[in-house]
Amino acid sequence: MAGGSYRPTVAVPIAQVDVTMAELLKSFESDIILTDEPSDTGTREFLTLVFADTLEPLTLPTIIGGAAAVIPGLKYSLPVERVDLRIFGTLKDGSFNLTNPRVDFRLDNTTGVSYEMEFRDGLNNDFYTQKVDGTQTKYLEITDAAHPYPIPANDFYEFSLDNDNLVYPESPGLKAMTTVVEPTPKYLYYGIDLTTTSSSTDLTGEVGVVASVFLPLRGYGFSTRKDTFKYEFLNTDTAGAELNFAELRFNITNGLPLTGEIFSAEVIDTTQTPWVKMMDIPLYNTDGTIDPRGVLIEGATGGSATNDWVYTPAIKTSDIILSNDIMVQPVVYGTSTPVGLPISQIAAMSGGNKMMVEVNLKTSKTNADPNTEVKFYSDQSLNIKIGIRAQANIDLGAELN
Amino acid sequence: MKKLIIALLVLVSGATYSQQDLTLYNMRYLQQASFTNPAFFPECKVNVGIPALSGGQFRVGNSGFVYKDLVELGSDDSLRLTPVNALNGMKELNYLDQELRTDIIHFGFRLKEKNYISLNISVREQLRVTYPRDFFTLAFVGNGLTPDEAAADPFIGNSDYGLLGERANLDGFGVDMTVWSEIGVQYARKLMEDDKLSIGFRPKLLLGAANIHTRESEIGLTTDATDYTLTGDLNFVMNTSNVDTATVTDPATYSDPGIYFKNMGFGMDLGATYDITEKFQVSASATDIGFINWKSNTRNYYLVGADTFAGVEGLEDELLGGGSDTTGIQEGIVESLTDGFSDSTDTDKYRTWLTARYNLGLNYQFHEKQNLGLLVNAHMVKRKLRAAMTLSYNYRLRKWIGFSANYSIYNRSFANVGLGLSLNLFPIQGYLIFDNVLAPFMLQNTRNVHMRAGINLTFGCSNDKDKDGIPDNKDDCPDTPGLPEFKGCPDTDGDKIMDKNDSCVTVAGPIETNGCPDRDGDGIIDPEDDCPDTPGIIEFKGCPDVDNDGIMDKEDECPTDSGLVEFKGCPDTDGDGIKDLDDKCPLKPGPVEFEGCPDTDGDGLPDHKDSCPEKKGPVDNNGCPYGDKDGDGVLDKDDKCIDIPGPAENKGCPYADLDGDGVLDKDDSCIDTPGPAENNGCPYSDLDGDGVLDKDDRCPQTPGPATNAGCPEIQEEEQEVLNTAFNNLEFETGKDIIKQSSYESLNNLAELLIKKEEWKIQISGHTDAVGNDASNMKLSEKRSKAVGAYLESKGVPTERMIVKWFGETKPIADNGTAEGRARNRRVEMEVVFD
Repeated sequence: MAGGSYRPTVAVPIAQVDVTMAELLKSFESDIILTDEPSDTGTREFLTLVFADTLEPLTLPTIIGGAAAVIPGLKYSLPVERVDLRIFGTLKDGSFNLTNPRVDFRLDNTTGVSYEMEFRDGLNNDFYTQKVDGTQTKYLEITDAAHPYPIPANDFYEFSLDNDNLVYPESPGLKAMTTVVEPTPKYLYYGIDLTTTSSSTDLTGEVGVVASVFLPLRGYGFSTRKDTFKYEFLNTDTAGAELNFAELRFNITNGLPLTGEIFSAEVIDTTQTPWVKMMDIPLYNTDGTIDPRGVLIEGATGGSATNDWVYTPAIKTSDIILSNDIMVQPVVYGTSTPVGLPISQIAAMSGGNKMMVEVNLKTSKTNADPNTEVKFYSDQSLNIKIGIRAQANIDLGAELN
Repeated sequence: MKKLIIALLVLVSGATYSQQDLTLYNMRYLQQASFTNPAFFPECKVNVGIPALSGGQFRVGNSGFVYKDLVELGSDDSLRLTPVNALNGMKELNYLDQELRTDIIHFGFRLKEKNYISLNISVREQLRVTYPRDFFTLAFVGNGLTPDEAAADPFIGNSDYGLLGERANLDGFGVDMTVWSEIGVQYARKLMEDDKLSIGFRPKLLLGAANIHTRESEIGLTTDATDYTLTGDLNFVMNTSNVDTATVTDPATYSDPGIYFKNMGFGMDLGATYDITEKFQVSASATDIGFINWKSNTRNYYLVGADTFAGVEGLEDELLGGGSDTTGIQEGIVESLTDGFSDSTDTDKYRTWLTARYNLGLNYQFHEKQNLGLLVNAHMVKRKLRAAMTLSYNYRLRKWIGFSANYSIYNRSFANVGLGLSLNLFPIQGYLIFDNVLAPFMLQNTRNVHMRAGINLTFGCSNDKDKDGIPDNKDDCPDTPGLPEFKGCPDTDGDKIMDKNDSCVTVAGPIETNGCPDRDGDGIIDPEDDCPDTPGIIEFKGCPDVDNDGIMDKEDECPTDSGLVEFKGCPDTDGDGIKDLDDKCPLKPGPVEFEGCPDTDGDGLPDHKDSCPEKKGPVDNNGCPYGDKDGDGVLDKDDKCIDIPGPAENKGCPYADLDGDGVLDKDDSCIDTPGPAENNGCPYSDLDGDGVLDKDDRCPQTPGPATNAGCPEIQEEEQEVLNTAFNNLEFETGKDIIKQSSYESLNNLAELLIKKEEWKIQISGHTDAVGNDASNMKLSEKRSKAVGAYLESKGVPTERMIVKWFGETKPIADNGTAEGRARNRRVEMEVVFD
């Protein structure tokens, strides 16, 4: 060893993160319902996202518009309301074809008057979905025989609208709710008319309306999103000259039936407005090569109705490589050109506080069928093990001589 | 200075196994040498070690790397670290050994020349630190390179140092330390003729003071090559006694003798030497075979388990943007590192074994003062045999100065030169021994240092090389044990003539013959006498020649008879070329084929076997001629009746005639019944009893008068019937059909035949010679059978008819005439009788 240097190479695990699907969904703005489903491997919890919209309760005077007493036939048209629908909270693009979404309505009537509730449905009317950017408006028409719905006095009334009692008027042959929910994110708009159907002089009480959209996570689709992660474990003020190389190893065991393509990873400083990008972080394969398309993390495969939706996890290993400017390489690469980021950039990395990752998520395909259905359960998880391998380069010449 | 410090640190911090006393083994005149082989006899009769100064020993060694492995001098004179060289200098398991010994008391004495007894009380300490190479691999190389990467790294170049994806093998890591006292009693004894064999043993009482013993040590650390998960496995057991802090720091511990007696054990040293020849000696020993049972303040530690660390857990919230509980994470790290292991302790007693050592030596005393030695030394460390080999040169100048120099090979070290020096200024004897004298001068290469020194008081060390009790300065034969009356020179055969004046050292003899015996008194001493028990003559080297025939008795087959050389001393009296012993007639010459005897009568039978030596006679008559006593011409040898004449054809015996019928029995077919000669001496028979002898009886079985030759008479009328039948018999021409005209007469014949039951009729058919023989034979057959058939048809029994046919073979007339032919054509009918 030249110059009396001491160059041990150390490999240690740093952290392991095990994120279940339920935990992943919790980070987004929706409620989650876990539904027990028995299977040969034991009871599993099927995931359903729930988005709810609660209207301001309506009083009788508001409904009857200043009349002195309630008589049948007084109609009140509620303004159009909307319910937020998003699968993974992304602000970018995405599309999910859900097998059986539905929207439940509940009216709590504490007045002494009965009503008839009618949706302003149909083509070009007030019952439709629309993307957050205002495009892709899809109208709904109710074919439920109970519609318009009778709302009894001093009571509540609930009903569900789904693929069975809704029609997509522009293509009546398609499943209406599935069609109008896809693509996400979007809003569900609804307009309701209330018409009194009884008499009363008692103007006390209120009518409350709650709309809940249930999105059972069974279907297929994709989502493109950008997410940020805290980044503290990469902070270091180690002098670059004392490292020959460092590899940050990510070993991912993906138990979700979701394939992820990581297009980019950036170190950003979110303390500033707007956020400042410090640097790009190239993600290497373990042989030192980089796929220009990004890092592909295959999703778990093999699940279907015939095997109780049990998936086989996929494993992916990627490295962030940092190497000394003077080209001291891990011998495994065997290249004549430097591989990895220069260690001198560690300072730049330490200037950021978060890592931003742009990733595209797609549901797993079977035999390349883009319409392969997947189901999400709470026990499916993404396990990430993070380790580091680094080679020091410590000059002991001064101590020896 | 820095180098020295580093070298010493390396020496101390490294690890090896300690070496046996390689030099001391060949300085066996020191009483301390008996610690290496209890069969060694010190040369002085009484040896007393100065208390606490007689035997001090210090040893430290390193089996792993040496200084120069870790630090090298560069071309610019700067020092540089070479940790991979240090790894290359290690084995998989390495040892640091350190040992101290002090002999508090050591004294011994010789008892009656052949016995040696000694007592020693010694305090000993042994320390061994065992460390695996992978421990330093982790420190020098780390766990971050795979074997392939380590092999390809130009600074490492060895796949063994790549621990990524492999298990770092830390098995065997541990400390073993024992402090103990031993009280030993040595006994050595010389055996066999000339004290060729010496055996010795030293039983020892062992008293343990303190102990650390790593009983089990299985430690490993595996780094997963994919995600760097660390997996530790541990199975570690350590026994200790009296090493807890309270005991060690309490002064009372060291002044309490009882502490030693709580940990007792037993040990044994065994050894032997054997003089193969005067110059070659082989020796062997086994020392420190023993154990100590530890009971006081024992504390045993058990650590076992396996655990995996794959990184800090619980960071999901952190990762997903939530808050983090750092306290919980820290607790989680500790828990994840330790929750797989379990530890426990107990205070059970336990046993440890001393490190037994084995020696095998060969010495060659090529000079009175010098010898060469070859020693192989071995001991077991962690179930592995560690061996050393030493070649030594040993010099002894009287009993004052002893010097030993040796070269040893052990533990892959080839630079071990030992020196030993002893000086005896009677009674003070001092010694100084280094097993590696080059160590201070070669620190960079030194793996071990061992020195021993001490002072003894010695008594009874006067020189008596041959140990005959006569000091060498008064001993005329200092190298050979001898007798006082001969000034130390021997008289091996005890004939009162000392060996150097005795021509026969090992055999007693009189002075007249220079100490050599002459048992037979023939004036020729036994060593030169080929026949020492028989008086003899000088010509035959003391062997006799009794018959004085010039052939000594032991070569003379006939020692008492004067004989000839060609007969090996045996005589031939009759001079026939056959020695008397083999001559059946020693006084008379004779040929070899007759065994030396003559044959006077020339009959081919020598006289000594000839009953009639002067008369020729056949051999089968013992040489005598045959006689004829009865004069019948038949020699007696052939005569069955030598006294009665008789014909030769009857073997000289007369023929008999038993029935007196004049027909000699030899010719008599009926020797008991008289009869005529013409009937072979048998009487004639008359079967039918008709008075006509059968010889004369034409019908011997049918009575008849003599007038009719013994046959029944045929009456005239009866004959007439026959004749008529014959005459009237006619056949159709050429056929066998009887003419009718013949019937009557044939009928009459048949009637007659029926009546005459004793009659048989013979019917014979004949023909003339006309036609061929076969046809005539056939015709005659048919005709005769036809007659027979006709008679049978008339009631004549067939058994009374004899039918024959003869064709033309028996004419009774001339076939040349018609008459003759007619007569020949006939069927004869004749009455016959049995």
